[in-house]
Amino acid sequence: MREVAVIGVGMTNFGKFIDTPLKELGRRATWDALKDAGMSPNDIQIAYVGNACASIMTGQVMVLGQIVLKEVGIRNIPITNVENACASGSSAFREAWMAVASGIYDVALAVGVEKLYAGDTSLSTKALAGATEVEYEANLGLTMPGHWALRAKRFMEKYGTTREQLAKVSVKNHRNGCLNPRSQYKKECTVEEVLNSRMIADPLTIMSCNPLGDGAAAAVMVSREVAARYSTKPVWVAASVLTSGSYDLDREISRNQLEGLAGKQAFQMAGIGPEDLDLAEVHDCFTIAEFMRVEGLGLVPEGDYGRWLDEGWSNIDGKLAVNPSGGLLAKGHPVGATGVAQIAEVVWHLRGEAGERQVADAKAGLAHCSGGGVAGDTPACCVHILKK
Amino acid sequence: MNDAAQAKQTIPVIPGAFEMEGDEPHLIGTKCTTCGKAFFPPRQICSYCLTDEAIVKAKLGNKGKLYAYTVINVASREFAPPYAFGFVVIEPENIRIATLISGVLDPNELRSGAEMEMVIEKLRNDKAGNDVTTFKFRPVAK
Repeated sequence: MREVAVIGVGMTNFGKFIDTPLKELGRRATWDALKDAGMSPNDIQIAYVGNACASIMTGQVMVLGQIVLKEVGIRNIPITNVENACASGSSAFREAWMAVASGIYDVALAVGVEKLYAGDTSLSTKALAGATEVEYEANLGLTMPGHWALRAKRFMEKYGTTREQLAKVSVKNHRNGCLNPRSQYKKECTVEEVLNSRMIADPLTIMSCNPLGDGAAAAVMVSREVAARYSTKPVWVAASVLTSGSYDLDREISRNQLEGLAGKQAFQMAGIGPEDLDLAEVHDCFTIAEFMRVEGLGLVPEGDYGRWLDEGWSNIDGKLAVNPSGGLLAKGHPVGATGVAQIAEVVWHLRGEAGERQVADAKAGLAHCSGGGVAGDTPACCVHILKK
Repeated sequence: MNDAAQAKQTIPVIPGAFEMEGDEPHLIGTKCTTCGKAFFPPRQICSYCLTDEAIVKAKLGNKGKLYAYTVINVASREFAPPYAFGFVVIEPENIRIATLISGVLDPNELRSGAEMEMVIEKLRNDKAGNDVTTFKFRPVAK
């Protein structure tokens, strides 16, 4: 297996861009990533494009990636569309990584792009409910916030976690989002505001849920030889892991066993431990999700994340910066774009280009995305570790 | 078109999900006769024995214990929130079922472990005016 470097990243602002077509969002992010890499569209040998909801939100059921990349002038190469719910972008990144790591290609592109806002929350909710087993759970009325509300109830019961502690995730991530020019929300909030905002699915209020929004991100990956020619600041993919659920119907759902498995594999592959990380972009689609996932990944001891938040240990200047970008809760979560945007965030920190939210002297960072909710389990879990 | 075709029908939202035994509804799943594990929705290959030879259709329990529940206030287009939704562990199979919860609309009214029983209720009308029905679980009256 060959070493793979990320030498270019790009990302649009995340937000509500109802008049901007999908292909335009994808074009901007891809063009920025190419410029960042110092490459021409002709240099890209293979591309993977992640998207989750276009079939329902815009009707673009097929060949979205080809449509986006034609706008960039990327033609006559293999292009594959990747869907893995919220992990669509990170799964596209992993496919591109595999293409280079395998030695078959030297230059690969990963793009994530999504339009999730249409001015009709029930349509977006329907699209997202497509990440459950539709012929069963979604047909009965289970939504993604509903799925996470049930997991939250169970988690709070088991660990004694309070609503205030859950809300602190949103407070932290909104504070970080204020420092990120690409963030959908740049406004601080208080625990009281989070708790008193509109209830979506008890205990999750609207400010405990990621917002609906649009955006895109892209990354260019290359072999060591190509990196030496193009980049003075390559960031290395130290681990890439993707796994899927077990769907045991008697499994306790307050633990994220899948994150445990993926985290273990990723640290083994990278040859480092959680204590060596400077930052982690973790899939905080809901406040409870950040809790369950930092603990599941082994970044924080089981049942301890409430204390971490109370002590500020996951702040940008804490023991381990969790979601310095603002996370999904503040930066936004255009589903298919998120995984690649997390990679871009980690790359910027490792290069020292993260501006006001820069994690000091960052040398290693983790990006985690998980997609869907089926039988109380997670269908897709993707973890990447990047190193300077 | 004959009269029977025009009559309004009762259509389960998940085809084949339950059957009536007299007045008592039962979930229809599968069971592996080798390891004893039950599956709902039915799986045709046992996830543990990895064989299709020992799987049989099974009438599952219609009672169980509440595992967790919530009230959903923002829903997909076809649904009219608020409504209660939860996981119930059915007995004796000891498997977790995703289900609408009937008879409760306060997220703090029930505790996990509450005794629940299965009922069949109308979910909505479809475009042709047929009753779309579903199984739900409700707290057993004390």
